[in-house]
Amino acid sequence: MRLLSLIVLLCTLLRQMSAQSDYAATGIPAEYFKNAHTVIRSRELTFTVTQPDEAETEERIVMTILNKEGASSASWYEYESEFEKVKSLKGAVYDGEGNLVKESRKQDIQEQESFTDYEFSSSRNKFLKMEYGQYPYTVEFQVRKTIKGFFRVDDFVVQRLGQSVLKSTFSVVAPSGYSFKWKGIRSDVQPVVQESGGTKTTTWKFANLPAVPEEPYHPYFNNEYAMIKIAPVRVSIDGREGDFSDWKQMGAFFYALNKDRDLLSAEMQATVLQMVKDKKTTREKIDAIYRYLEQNHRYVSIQIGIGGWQTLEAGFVEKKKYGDCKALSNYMHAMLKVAGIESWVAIIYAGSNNLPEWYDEAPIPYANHAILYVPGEDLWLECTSNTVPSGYLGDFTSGRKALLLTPQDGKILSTPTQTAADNLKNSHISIGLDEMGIAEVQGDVLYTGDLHEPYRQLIAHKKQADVEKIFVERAEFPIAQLLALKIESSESIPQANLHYSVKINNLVTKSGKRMFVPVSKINPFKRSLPANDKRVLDLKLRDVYAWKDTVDIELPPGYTLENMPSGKHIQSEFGLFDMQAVQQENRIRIIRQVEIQPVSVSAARYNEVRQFYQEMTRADGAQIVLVKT
Amino acid sequence: MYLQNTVLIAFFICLSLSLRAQDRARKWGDIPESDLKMTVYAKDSSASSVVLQDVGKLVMTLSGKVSLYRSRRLKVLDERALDKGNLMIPYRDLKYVDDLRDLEVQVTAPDGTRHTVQPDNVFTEKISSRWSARKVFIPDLKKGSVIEYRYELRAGDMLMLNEWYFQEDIPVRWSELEVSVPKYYDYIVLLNTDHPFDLDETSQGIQTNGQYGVTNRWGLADLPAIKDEPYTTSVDDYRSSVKFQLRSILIPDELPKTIISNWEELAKELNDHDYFGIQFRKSAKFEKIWEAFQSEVTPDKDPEVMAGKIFRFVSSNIKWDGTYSIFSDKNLDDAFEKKSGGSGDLNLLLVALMRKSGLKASPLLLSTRSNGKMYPLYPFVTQFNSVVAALRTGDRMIMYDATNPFLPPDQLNDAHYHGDAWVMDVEKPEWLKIMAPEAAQNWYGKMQLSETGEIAGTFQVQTTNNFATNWRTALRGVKPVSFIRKNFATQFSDIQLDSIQFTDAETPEKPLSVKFDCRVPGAASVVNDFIYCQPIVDFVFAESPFKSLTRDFPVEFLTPFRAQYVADLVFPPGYTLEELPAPARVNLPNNGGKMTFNCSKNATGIQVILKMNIAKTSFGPEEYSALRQFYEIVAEKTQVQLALKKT
Repeated sequence: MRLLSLIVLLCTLLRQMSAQSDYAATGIPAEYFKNAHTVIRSRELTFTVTQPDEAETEERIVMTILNKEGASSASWYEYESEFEKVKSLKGAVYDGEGNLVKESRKQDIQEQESFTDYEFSSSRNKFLKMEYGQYPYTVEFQVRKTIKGFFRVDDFVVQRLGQSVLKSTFSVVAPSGYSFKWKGIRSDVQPVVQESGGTKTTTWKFANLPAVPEEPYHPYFNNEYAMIKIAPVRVSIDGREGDFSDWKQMGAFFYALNKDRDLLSAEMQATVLQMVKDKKTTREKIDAIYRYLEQNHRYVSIQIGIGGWQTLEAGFVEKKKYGDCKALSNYMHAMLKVAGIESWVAIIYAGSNNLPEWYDEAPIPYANHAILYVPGEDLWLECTSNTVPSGYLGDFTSGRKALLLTPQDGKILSTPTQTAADNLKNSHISIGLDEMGIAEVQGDVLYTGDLHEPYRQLIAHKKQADVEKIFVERAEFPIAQLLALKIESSESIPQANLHYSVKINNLVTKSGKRMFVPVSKINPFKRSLPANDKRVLDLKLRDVYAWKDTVDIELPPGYTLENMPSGKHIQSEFGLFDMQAVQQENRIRIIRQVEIQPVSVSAARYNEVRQFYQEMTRADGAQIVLVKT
Repeated sequence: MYLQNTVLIAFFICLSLSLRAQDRARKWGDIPESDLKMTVYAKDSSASSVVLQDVGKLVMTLSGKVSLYRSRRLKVLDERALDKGNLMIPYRDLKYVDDLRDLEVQVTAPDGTRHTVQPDNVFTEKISSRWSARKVFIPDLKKGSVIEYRYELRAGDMLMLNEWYFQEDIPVRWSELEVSVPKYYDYIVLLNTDHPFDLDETSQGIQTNGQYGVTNRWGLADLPAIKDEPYTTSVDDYRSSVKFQLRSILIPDELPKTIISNWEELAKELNDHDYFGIQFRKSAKFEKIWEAFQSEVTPDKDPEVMAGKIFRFVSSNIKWDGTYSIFSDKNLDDAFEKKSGGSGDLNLLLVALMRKSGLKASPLLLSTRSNGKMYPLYPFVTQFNSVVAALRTGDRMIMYDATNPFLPPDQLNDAHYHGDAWVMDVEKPEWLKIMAPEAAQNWYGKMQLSETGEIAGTFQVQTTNNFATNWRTALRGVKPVSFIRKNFATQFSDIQLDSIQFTDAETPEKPLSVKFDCRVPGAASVVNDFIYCQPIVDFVFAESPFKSLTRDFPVEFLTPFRAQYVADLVFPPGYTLEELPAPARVNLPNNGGKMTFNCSKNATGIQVILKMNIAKTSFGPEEYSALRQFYEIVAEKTQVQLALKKT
């Protein structure tokens, strides 16, 4: 009896001890709390290649959530499609002491529901949320998936920003003949390779990685810090074999997948020839065809089968007048071909934020978009837009590598990098003031590049009455009356012109006999970085633009100038600020130049950049003081 | 212009004579030349597309099956609206097994040529296990085309298909709904519109399906596009709509089957509902938390003190998971074990513990701000989506909301303020008007201005109610200095802060105040012999949020509020003030609020006082221009500058 209770006691103790070591937050050494929102206690992910075109993944992760910034990690997301299936997804949550609170049941798995009218897709997103109300707590997930046909293996993200890792193992299990390339990013861990019975197991082990803080404006894609990238050398999907040992071969595979899908009807061919008949230069021909594409087609995405990688036939787009990025690029390519102009589809990762890097040592088609390249003209064409001029890319696709699918092989080529001269704002603003301080302001502004896009989109999607309403709502200054507004965008170049005339009650501050006129209230410059004396991450800012503004301020009758800003000039590798004020009789002219250069510097220089912006912003707050005589 | 929305109640049983019968809807394919040739919609030249007509026929059979026959017709006026060629018709897929059938789509070009959209353009997407959607991508769509489509949507459940919106985000020229119900079904109908109906008729007789019943038709013509605006509750509150709900079934020779008849009945039903009344009435549902509560908390005889303890215990032990519900669909103890739950779990738990402690507590049901308004004439539980707890003590009622541990008693989560609430009390169910208590923010500053243009001094900032709750919530887990940097005088990015001291940061019942030293180099500009200085460094806003020149819906503030900025500014020696800014005072009409601004000189400098308050939460469109002007004046006063001259 006594022995039995002792055994029971021992068992309980043992269970508690093991529970504690695995799940209790107290089991985490102190240094892993620093900078961390989550701590991976243990993780094993095994990627098993079962057939040349089939694989399974099995993962178990135990993670402690330390604070609300880490709470999103308490939900596990899985994607399902015709090719990927979740076989099982289980979760559990433990409180701070490591006591099991809840194990998931099947009905706890939720689905993301998205109701969009421009796409058809057979993929679904599922998630399992294992949140607990008091930090810290620990979640555990176990997931099994099967994959049928794959080009790429998801990166194994060893460590995200704001995450400590105590123990983590990644294994790739494959038949001995199966080969893949790999590359460690911000990790120099070498794998251990074991071979037995025709199976090769490659295992990377990671341990005791303290968190790298999550700070804004860093260079890392998707907050992913350290990772292992896997690039299969032979791929097979939907019965098609491919060699992905380098970009050339990969490009050849995608080219073949999409080959001979560029046939247009005889009628359409005639239409294309008619379009370019009177055009002299190749560029004029391209522009005519591109204009036709933009004006008659719309973006609709239909994802069926390997539709993620194989385009719909050009004949489909011809008939339906819609398609997704691949289909519209392929269709444009087909029309150019009829006109005798060679072009290649390019696959690319589109987005305005940080990008996933492409490495030659481990070529992986990490892409989400397709555009078209015309080699003869060194011209890139975005084929999903209904509005932009030919050759315009914008920050969505510029300045990055693209994989060109040429008839010979794949080629890596970078899209043009934007400079400040691409993104201009040149304005002339006249401000007339009456004795009450009410301002009548006229502005003429020219925008180019990224800066012109919102205006182009606005007039493309809204008619004048709505354009006016939106202009008033978005203006940086409170408009009392809109007297005139005209927005135009150029057909041939990325440029928009804005003309407006408005009344503003609050532009100046009146105080007794004085009037305070902030010189940049119409077009203020504000840019700041949060204070941080202990910055750890490199600083990366992609913005690049240049403003040149002339502001003429007409003095109200009966007022004279008491003070105006003295000239200011600040310049560094990060940009430029210049402001000059000149009095010309009854008028004060302010000329201001702002230039912002992309920033990519080490953490040590964070405060230098911060102070530079601070100084620019402060200088921009200058004002004119008028006094009644 | 939208005036007060009117809510009308009509019963099928009481017949009204037809007011104005008008057949505005045209038959499938019968498109007048003027519509084909139309290039601009005369009633709204900014429209790129218009719904020419939208006709619904809702037919219920004796067996309780409901079908909606819908036929819509849209005109694509220009290329901006080519995306109207993407149709999406969602329907439920799980329990009620809606069935979408006989979908037909046809497109007619301005020259009258017509083509039928073929099935290869129609896709059925399984969005989730609960929802599917039929998606149609109309091929070769050109501007000027008229799109027509029709379908039958069958619902497996008579309680479904219960609303029709006449108004959309594009203009609607004609929208009509016909509802045919067998005689034995008693329906309650709720009409929500401020546009008088252009068609409103009722008839009784043999219906198209051969059964005897009642048919109602409502139609509205020339409805403007309705678009979301900031500072509103839900745009659906202002969309013309009709909703209906089955009330009872009276089949001869059978017992009448009442679905729901009045608030008393509903209260009784909820009281016995497994996921509602049973949860707080049966101790077994919350025995674990009751045990934990008893071991941690000493009881108090005073009901208010006791309720306060329960409230703190629940809100500090269980985290709100961000969801709203009136129900607790697991046991209340489950939420306690997970330390996490929805508004239904948390607040029914308050009711449970209060009742168990002998207090008089009831659930208070409501609809969140984004969930559409409530109808006290409409005894249906579906209009509610959340619940809080109410304690009756003496003749007072105190509300508790455990969704945020920083809420004081009698203050609710922002989303819960939507005008009304219903007390689920079996003895005395009743409707209440609820409004958030006034929130306040006060500043007391003592500042010294230096010759170099630096301002240095101490500030005390105090917030109450909603402002305090927001601060306390944002303050959690954040360094005090980062918090102040984010919430005080944000235009000065190089502000230096020191000696930050919070008072009552963890006591939601009390105002939250913070005291700190600050130093702002370059706050004032020094030019020649002058220093120009802005003495108001922080306020509830520096720029008016009301930029639009006109307004379609009322502005709905979350809470009435008050702000008061008082600061003493000491001038640097050798400088004198050029002139004292003039005082100002503005009142909003209808006692909506007021502002005062005052500067007074003292021995060492100046004292500045800026006060404003917004006394009510709803300002109609006709009050908008006054409100906009009021905000502009306050914004201007926050920018007031002083000119000091070297003597």
